[in-house]
Amino acid sequence: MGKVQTTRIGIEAYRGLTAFGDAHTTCQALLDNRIALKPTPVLGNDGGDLVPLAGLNGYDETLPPRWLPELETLANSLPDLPWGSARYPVFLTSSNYDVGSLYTAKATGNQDHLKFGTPARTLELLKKLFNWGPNAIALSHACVTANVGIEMASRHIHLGLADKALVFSFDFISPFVAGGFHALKILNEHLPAPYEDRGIGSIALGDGAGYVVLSGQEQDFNIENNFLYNEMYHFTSNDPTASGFQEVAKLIKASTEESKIWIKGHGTGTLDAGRMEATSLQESFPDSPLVSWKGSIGHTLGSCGIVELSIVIEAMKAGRCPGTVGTNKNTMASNVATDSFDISGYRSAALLSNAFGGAHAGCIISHA
Amino acid sequence: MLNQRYIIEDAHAIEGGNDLVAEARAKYKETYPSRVARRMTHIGMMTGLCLKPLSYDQNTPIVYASVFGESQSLEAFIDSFPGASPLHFQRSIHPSAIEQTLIANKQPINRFYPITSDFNLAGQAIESTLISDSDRSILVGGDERATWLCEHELASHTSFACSLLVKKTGEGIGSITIGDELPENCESECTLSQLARAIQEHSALQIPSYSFNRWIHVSWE
Repeated sequence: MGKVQTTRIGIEAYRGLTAFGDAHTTCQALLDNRIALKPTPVLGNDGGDLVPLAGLNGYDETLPPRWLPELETLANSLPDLPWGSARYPVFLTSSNYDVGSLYTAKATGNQDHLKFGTPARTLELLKKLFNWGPNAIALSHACVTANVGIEMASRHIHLGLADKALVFSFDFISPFVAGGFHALKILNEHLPAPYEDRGIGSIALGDGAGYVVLSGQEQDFNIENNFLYNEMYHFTSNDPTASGFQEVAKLIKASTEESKIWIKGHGTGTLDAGRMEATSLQESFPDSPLVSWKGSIGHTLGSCGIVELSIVIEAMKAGRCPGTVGTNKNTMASNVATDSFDISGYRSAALLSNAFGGAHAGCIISHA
Repeated sequence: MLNQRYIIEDAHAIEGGNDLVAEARAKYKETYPSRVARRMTHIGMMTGLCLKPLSYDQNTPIVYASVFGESQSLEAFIDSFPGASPLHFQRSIHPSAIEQTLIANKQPINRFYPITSDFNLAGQAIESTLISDSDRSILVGGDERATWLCEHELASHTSFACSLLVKKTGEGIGSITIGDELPENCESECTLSQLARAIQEHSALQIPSYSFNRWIHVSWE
């Protein structure tokens, strides 16, 4: 079983950004059952099949990249601390780091796009723009990247190497990324319906960004534990025995003493992974409601761990959790919540993410 | 708490020079027969070769460091548009290189940390390996040469890979020690290729760790 870290980590500050706007606005939109996804040509201005996407301010690559002003706004809201210096590490997390810029440079011949598009270039650009020092690292582990960043940042605090740690995350969609998922046939013309028992699986993609500032001091909202597990079964599918999801259920149990939790699952809308996730969690936590919000805001890829964490905290503040927007009552497991529900009696939630390679990552969030 | 000294139990490095994936498939055919190699990337083969001699299990954390990752698959995926290739897409996704080996071996890993910075990547990789706070942990890294991405400094000009198996106690072939504090405004760095060369030659190396705010010393028996 994956090792569980046992130090409580305080969430001193957080922000989240989706196609709806900030975390508070997004949580409210989800509570209102709104769907941000819109049918969009997969190759943007170059056309192609219509696929469900939730862009914040467009879709095609621009100069400067359309994510840059959004990240500048986020960075301006950070606590004023010497980020990137000793004891204030920065963990930059993304799955694609605007790799779409390379595709656009190749497609248009405009080499100005080549100033962006790799993790290293993005990190160096943000260090310069935001005055971050050399204690800044870029991580990329597909759709569990933000969770891996949170785990590493928590580990720095746990070991006494950091007073506060910043985990900064973004993933903006592009024809490059959507083209890839469309090639895998899981991004198609259908809107996703996570955990719905239906004949066709489908996902959607959305823009996402956000950050968390972590410390060793207890806060209103805290990370009880982080956990990681990598099946290494297949690149694009999970072990059909559901061993990975069962492992995650064990890790959740080992991570919290709370008997009453609700679960924000990964739930992209694919059939096999969705069924294994829902049924494994139902078996281990029959009384814990399970939700996914990717049927509304789309899958925000490597940023989803932080984007969805920010929505979880907003839901805890509101005392009401959005349901699995876009999914009807015909669900794969009886614990899937399709409607919003009262969480005022819950102290903790489990947040789960999955990625290519059968990667699983998650944490337990509790309020004081 | 961190130790002041760690033991290097095992270490390996591969110098791939100017090889592209086609040359690598011929060079490494004894380990990777053509039916296996055709599904692998160059960096996947090199890191696999560096990982293969190491002793590890599910509980051994693995840090994977690469500046550029799967550069040739990335080029191939971009070149495949508008008929985007699903194979090149999935192979281009970081950290596919290590997954190629671990998936082939059906080897689950609890903790896996793929880092992809550039500045002082060797320092970041070693500090990430040490903070995994496990009795034994692995660092594996590398980069592969590509074609048109190299013209824009968006891929490595040379191919290489390396690995280190680090443990807290026992016998080994070298050690990693945490030394003095870094000077104020230190701007030193150690690249991943410098670390690979030091492993290949068993030469000593002094590397800044901005996370520890200390020098890290790599030395050999």
